[in-house]
Amino acid sequence: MKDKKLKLEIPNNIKLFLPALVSLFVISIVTSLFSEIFLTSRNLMNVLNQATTTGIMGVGVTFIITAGQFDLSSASVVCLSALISSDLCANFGLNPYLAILVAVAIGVAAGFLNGFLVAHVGLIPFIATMGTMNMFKGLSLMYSKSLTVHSIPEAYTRWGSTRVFDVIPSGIIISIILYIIGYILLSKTVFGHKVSAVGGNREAARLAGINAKNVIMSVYVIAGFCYAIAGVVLTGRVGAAYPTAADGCELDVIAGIVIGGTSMSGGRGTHIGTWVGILLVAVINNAINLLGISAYATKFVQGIVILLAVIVEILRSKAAEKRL
Amino acid sequence: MENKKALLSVRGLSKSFPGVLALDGVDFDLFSGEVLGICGENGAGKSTLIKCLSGVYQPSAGSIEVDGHEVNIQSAEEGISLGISVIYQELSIISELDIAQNVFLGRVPRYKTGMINFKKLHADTRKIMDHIGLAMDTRTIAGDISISAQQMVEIGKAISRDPKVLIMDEPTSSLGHDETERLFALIEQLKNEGYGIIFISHHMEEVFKITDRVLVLRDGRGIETRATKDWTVDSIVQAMVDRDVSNQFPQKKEGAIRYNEPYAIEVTGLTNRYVHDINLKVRKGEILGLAGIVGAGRSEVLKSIFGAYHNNMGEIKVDGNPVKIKNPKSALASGISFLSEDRKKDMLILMDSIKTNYILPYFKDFAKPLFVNNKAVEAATQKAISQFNIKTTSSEKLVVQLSGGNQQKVLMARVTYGEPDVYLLDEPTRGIDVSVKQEIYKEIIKMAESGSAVILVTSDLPEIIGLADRVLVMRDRTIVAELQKNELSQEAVMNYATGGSQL
Repeated sequence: MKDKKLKLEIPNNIKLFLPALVSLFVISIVTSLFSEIFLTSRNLMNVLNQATTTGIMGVGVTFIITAGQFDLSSASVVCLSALISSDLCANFGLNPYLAILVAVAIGVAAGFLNGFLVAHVGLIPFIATMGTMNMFKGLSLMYSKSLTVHSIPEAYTRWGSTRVFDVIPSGIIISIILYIIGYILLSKTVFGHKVSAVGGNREAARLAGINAKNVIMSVYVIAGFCYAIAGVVLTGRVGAAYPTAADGCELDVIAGIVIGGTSMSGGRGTHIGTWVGILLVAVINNAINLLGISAYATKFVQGIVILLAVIVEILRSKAAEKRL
Repeated sequence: MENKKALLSVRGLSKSFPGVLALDGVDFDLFSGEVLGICGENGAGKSTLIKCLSGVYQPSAGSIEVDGHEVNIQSAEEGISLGISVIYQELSIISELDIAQNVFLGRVPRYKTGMINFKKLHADTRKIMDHIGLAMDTRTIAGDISISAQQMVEIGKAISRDPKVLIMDEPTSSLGHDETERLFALIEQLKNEGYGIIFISHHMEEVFKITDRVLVLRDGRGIETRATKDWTVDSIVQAMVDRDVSNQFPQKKEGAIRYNEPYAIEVTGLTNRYVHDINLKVRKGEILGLAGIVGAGRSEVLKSIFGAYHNNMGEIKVDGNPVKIKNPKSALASGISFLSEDRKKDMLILMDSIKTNYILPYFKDFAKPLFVNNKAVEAATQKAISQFNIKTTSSEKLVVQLSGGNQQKVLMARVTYGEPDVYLLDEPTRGIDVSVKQEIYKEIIKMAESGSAVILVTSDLPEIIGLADRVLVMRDRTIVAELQKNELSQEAVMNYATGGSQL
């Protein structure tokens, strides 16, 4: 227990996503050696743009995972909120700005329902959100009767389709703003510390005077808000809303978060890590394309990366416990 | 007994952990048909010794011989196959399974097809239960039977593995008086059947009643083994602590108790699922001890006052003013702070920093107005680290990397934050070594001297007698006796705690 020598102390939260950051650089450099297209601004913007949906969802899901929770319903909320709101303004003449508010209201309501089921009814997050995921998916299908919403007013779609300075897609700007807000909220505020505390040890947090139920409700509501924004941006980027939009994204987001070093057992999470993790997944997919490897390999590689990330986390926490 | 061959022979057994020598060259023999008592303070090495014998830990040095053959026990399974069975203090009953399935857990008899042979399972269990005298149907679900019956099941489980050596770690800690008597009758029977039994207990009267010889451990060393009739309570305690018991506790300044001010806390008729009709008053500057056996409801009283349970009935006044305590948050706001007996489960976020763990309930105090001021947090934490002598290189260190004693100091720092009116301390010295205990005693005295009330729960009787001004004894979820300082003795406390007439 003696102090041996003064080491350069890397802050705990940077340690979390360091492996992902290093991998991101290594993969980027290697890919750029083999493909001259990779480092072009067009390709990079493309990579970022494709990552915006999972990226914006990730802002919210990072809160959820850090609070020791889980959410399988994220993608279905993205889809439902986008579908109903874009339909209201495309086919029923609702003001596009009000339509976006409707999307947010749907996202927040969905988050409220998830939070209520987990915090107050006491369901396991995995089960509760598996239930709501199917409910929301079903609602999307019932509402749309499997049809796609077209000709959505520009005031709605431009949030996902404009290019700022003709280069940077608007979705990227929106996601960066949300990441900054998310980062500040989770790392710098009392609320953020409460989220980590509840995720780290819910009973200890409760006995320290933290209202764990409110915290859990809040993270689901924040996440619901993010899903709605992700839905609007996605709809704008694609130019249409359809009932299978964002299908499967719920797991991609969690993959990115795990790769970014946020602990799946809760308590430790960082938005920078999520951003790096989701970006890493996008870059790997892009690299596979550019290097001419079969697109079928994408999922396989993603699986390996997830496992590596989790193994790194386990090794790290074992090392931490051993250093007594 | 000298010419008899030992069942179990331990020589120079040592076990070191990083930074701690938990066992330091322990020697003893255990013979067939005897009960060997092992006594020692918390942290003297009893649990480590058991774990080395059962194969949970591998000793760092020394030898273990079973029936004259040196063995190297690598795992708990190996310990069992060598004939060493342990009945731990914490019962390992699975409450969803029935008695027979618990007894043969992991070893249920099967048909050749792999299907469970329930007929044989229950017949075999019946035989064992008849042997140890549990008449209950072996199909009874284990969660539905009393603790003492569960313990019989645990003993049955141990015996079903056909051991030579039975180790019982604090077997009476959750038993009532009659149940203890029944257990002793069974131990007597097993002893006569030729088992070698190691009996570990904090209760002196039990040690004197049931054991043939007693080994005293202190600081990981085997101090002495004598026949029980050659020991006295005083000589055992002396050997356990090696210091004058009355002087190990720091004493409060005279006149610390403020008799002419309102009570720091008054609890009237506190009742809920866990405790019944609790009434107590504590003066500012007073240390009130809450004694009783495990399960008597001591921790639950503290948790109830702290608002950790729902649906409390009764009234609580702090400093003369009625307060409404709905949850821990309002308890903290009313000037009540709480230290749980289970620091890992109830208090600490192990994978977070010292800093966060220290100010966990008080983040708001460091927010200006929205953002947490890291510099202020760091400054406050550094102050706490030096004031409470927490050994660490940085405030960013994860608490999982601290020793138990240092973790406890972080929590002592937390509970004293903001100088609350009332301290509820549950087993503040559990599982920490003697030198840190002294520091914690001093902190407790300091709390009282600064004019706060302290309600102290501890299973360590000398500790409660040494520190408390007054002791309330609990039994069956309620308070049964009040002892003033001059009436305090281990015997008196135990007498009330166990329902009397035992001594």
